Amino acid sequence: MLTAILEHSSLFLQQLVNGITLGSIYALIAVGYTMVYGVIQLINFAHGEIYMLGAFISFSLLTGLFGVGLPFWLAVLVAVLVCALAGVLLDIVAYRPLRRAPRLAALITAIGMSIFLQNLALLIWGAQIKSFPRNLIPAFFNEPALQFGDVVVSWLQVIILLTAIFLMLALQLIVHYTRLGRAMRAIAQDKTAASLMGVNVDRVVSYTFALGSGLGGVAGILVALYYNAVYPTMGYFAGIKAFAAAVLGGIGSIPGAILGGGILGLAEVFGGGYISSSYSDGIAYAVMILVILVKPNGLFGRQLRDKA
Amino acid sequence: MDKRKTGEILLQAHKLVKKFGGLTAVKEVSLEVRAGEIIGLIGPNGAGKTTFFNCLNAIAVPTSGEITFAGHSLVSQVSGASSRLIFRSALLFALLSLFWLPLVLGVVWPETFFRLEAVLSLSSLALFRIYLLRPLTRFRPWSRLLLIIFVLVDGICAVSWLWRSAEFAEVSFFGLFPFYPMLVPGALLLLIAAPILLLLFNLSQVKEAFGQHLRADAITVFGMGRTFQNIRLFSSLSVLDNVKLGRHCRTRANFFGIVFGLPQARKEELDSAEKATECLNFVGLGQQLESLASSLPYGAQRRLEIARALATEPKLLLLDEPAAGMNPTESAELITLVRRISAAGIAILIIEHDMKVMMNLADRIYVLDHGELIASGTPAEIRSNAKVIEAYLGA
Repeated sequence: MLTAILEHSSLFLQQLVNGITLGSIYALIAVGYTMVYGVIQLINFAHGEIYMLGAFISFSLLTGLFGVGLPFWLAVLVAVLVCALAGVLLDIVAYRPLRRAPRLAALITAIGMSIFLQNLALLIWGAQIKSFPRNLIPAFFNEPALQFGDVVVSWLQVIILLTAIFLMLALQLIVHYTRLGRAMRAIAQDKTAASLMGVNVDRVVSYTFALGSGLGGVAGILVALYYNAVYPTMGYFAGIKAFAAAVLGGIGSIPGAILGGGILGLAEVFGGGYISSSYSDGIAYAVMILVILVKPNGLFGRQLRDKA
Repeated sequence: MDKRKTGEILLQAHKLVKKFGGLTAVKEVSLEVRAGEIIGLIGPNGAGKTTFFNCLNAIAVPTSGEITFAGHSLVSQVSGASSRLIFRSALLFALLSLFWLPLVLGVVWPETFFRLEAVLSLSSLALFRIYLLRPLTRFRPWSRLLLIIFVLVDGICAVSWLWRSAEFAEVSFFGLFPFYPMLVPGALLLLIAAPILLLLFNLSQVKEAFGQHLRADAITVFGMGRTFQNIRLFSSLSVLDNVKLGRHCRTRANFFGIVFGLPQARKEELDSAEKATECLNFVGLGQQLESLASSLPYGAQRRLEIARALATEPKLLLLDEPAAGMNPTESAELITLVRRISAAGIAILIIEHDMKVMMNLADRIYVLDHGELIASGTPAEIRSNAKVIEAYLGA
């Protein structure tokens, strides 16, 4: 086995690079699931659709608003802001009225919103797969940044990884060292006590959605650039995969979501590369199931807290 | 230095009633706390003391009665009928706003022929209008004014569109059907709805309803801090973070300031760390800033809860059985702490089982039994009150 890997070391390294790239994208999406779950114990199934919206909105902004496309970086920035806003609106319109309802009601609403947003995108942008015109995105993206023998790391892969690392670090800082993050952690533990200490719970939940959806939007844009394909159902598949990553890492835990995303990305790419590309999804989910069998709360999941 | 002087009335509850289904947990309880006082609330288990606290904090909604705190009325006196009325008219406004969207699209930008970007920007505008009116359901006075302004603007728009309607004869809606047949009834609808909404929002009962619904966090901002009977610390947060959370309502950094780490937000963070440390030193926990709240011993957790409540800069502190489960040394320390808090000029309303603690701490005592106020007065009066003796020793 070892010799086989050594013989195919360039294939192995290339798969590793691809796996890490994919994993960091899954991690970015999974963080959105896990943050919302951590704060209000809701699995926001429409999160994948926010990711899809990120891709579509950046596409629309690039290819022409009012006849003129925005410059690439500005388009990305605006698309991320729109995604954050869409997340907040989603919460206000769909979830907030159900905050005191049984949890199942909010879950069904989340699935409903997911289907609604998917079909809205279908209506606005159509079903065919769109790709970014080559002249509108920076040319260096697909040029190799590093090259060892046959192993090529493109600039886009470098950017994806660096963006993911940067955003994760920033998120950790926000969650652990700011007023907002503290309020989020407090609400996750005891909503009533937090509100009695003067925290406006609704506002903090809105900000949580804004953060998670912003990260989801970034992931959507990165994926759209990486595969150069934008289509209405892209959010569904990526969303399920990222949800699996969040569960694998222990839903509610941000480091768990990052690790889960990485593991799932690597499993998918290596499974696809060494076993069969048509089984790559199946292998990724099999890894998740195995982990869950051994650690039912996920890698970093806490035991369900008892009311002590 | 003793800053204590009994001043103006800080908290006044008048005939407060709270029913849970058929059970009346609090029956017409009236109580007042003046600035600087230490007031005791005692009674056997299940007498409704904690429920009473929950009503003060808007955790539970009182069935009837009034609460005034620091000049603010905390209990909504809004009847169900008028809140339904407001809710329905807000809904009507929301529907009109959504309807208004295609009209503006056609009128403002006929040349764009309903392109995606126009749809997007205008739908966000319509949604933003609705979003701004969220506080309608919480009866905030400015949201009522905002709605009236929006409705007036809509009315003016509708008139001007009708005036210019001939210009839109050629425009088609997404290339599907002519826009004109939609414009005229749409504008008429807005014109009809505008006076109805104006009328509804100027009804005297609607006007009265505004400014009376308060959430728990708003009451904390007014200056009511509290601790809990069964400790409710954020156990996975550090001691310092627990207290810094109390500073949340006294800091103002907004979302962008926090996310981009703007200097103002960072300065505020340092300030709140400093204030939180002060509060912790005050209760004697200044040495354990970074340990987890759950790792503290029981008595220290109680004091941490008090520090967290103090960090919200309360005028009135509600203590729910702060000495429960404490040994005599700890409860003696607690009494000293409560006196020091009181000396700092904070009024205290305290629930306690331990009669001894109460007798030498409280200025006045209220006694609840089965939700009813059976006695009130100075500790000496309470001690000799026949009803109190019966409630505690009889049964």
